[in-house]
Amino acid sequence: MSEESPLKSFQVAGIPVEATFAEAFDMKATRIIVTADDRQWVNEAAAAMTGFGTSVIACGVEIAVERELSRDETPDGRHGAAILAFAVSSKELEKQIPRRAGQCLLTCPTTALFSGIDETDPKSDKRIALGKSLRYFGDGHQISKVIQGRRFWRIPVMDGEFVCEHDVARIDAIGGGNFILIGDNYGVVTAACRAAVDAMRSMPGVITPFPGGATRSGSKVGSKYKTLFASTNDAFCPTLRTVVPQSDLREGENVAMEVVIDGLTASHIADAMRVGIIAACQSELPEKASKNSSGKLLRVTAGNYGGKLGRHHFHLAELLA
Amino acid sequence: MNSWSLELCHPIDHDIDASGIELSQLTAEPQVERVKRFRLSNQHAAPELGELFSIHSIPKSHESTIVLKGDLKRVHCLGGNMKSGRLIVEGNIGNYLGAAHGASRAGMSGGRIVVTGTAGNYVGFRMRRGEIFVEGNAGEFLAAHLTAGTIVVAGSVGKNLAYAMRRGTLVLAEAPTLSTRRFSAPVPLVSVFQNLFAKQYAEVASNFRLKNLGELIASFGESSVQSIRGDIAVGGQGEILFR
Repeated sequence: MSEESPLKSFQVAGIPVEATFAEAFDMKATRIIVTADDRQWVNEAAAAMTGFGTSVIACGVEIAVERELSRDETPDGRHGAAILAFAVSSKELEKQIPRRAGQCLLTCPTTALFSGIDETDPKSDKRIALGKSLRYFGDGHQISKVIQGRRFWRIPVMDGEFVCEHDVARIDAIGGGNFILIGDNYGVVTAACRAAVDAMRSMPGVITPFPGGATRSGSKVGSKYKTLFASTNDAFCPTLRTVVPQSDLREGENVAMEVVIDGLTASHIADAMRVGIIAACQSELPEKASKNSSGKLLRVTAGNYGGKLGRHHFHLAELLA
Repeated sequence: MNSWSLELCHPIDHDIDASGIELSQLTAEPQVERVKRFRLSNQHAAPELGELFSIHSIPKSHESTIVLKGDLKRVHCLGGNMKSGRLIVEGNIGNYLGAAHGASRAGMSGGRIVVTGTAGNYVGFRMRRGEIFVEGNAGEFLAAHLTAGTIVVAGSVGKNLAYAMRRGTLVLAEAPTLSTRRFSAPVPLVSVFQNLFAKQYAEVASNFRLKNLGELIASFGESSVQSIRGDIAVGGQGEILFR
């Protein structure tokens, strides 16, 4: 237990923010665009595609809707959504995307699937198959069309045709940007989390893959059990505050939630962290949450592994300077 | 890569084989004097470009472009060896546009040809890939032996349409007359491909102010489209789309 933090802190909107850093890792990423005949089909397709995609620890991929797209922003002029997916290896991403697209998008009525990564000149040879794999479902009746230099597959299905781009570029990206919001009850921290995620939702190039954008099961590397390579982050578990010697929580700090951010570049993550932390600190707390509490966040910090595992360090003091 | 404008100096009163014009060679050439010395075909007496056309450099775009201006209905076999880039014909063009010629088994294999006037017979014969847009009419044997690619004709078309067509897409403004033994009955096309087609190709018509092509392309996003498949006689799965 550490009643006095060794870290210096500064304040944002009156909330102490520790001068520590979030440690993030190299990942591989891609962006796909899903369109459909109406917004409801888009949402249902996107929900299926991004389901079970919170963490690479067991899901294989971290995937979420980046933002909704208007008719003017999609290749076919229909409602759409941009989805970002991140994985620790190219191989895993190349496995997950076609598999999910085949079971979640091909199956969803009225949908079409397009690449969401701008092509480079010359075209990148780091590709993830979309229609390249899914076309075989057409059993020989599929049609390939090249339009404006992009190859599309038209696969006959029961509602007409599933139109799908041949492949999508894979790019280098960063996963694991984070900040931890600490308070004395659920209501306060929930309100702060939601304010942070709402503020980041419109930002391009980032996703918050956990449920509602936040996780309560932040993890540390390793475990006492040999088969596990991650286990509960006991330093931020309030019930262990007086049990484990390395606890990072202080007296009165009863709830911690972590907002995890994956981004296409370091600047995308840095911008999102800045916006998210400021929104969390400025969040309006609901009346119910403030009855038996201080009514505000107690502290903001970030998760890291001492800087030894990930090469991308996002220092809160620099971001919020 | 460079882009060139070739304007016809005087009317052509005899047939000319233009199969020697290779877009990639012309656009790789930096000097106008050297472009003028390109021969239209590899025949001994074939004229040089400079004898027929006034040649000017045009501003570079993201793709290499050749613009041919004038009535070229006696100029044949143009664009059959195209692999990329843009070939714009501001006027009429003769037979075998984008088609295989000589001993070649395949015609154009990439890029885009836009004709603002009419085109002759055998447009897209054995075409392998790429896009051809014709604002006016096209002659007989349009898309014959088509292997792949897209041909859009906004005017009327001649006889023996899509003969031995294997794959690829032919887009027409009106219902074609086809043998029912070689082509399927028309069915409504229910596909987002219509929207994609209309949105992605809208700039083709707008760039050149082509009224008929503009209306045809736009109609794909708005109205019902019929689809015919064939040529069944050769096991083809080509597609003919029309309003």
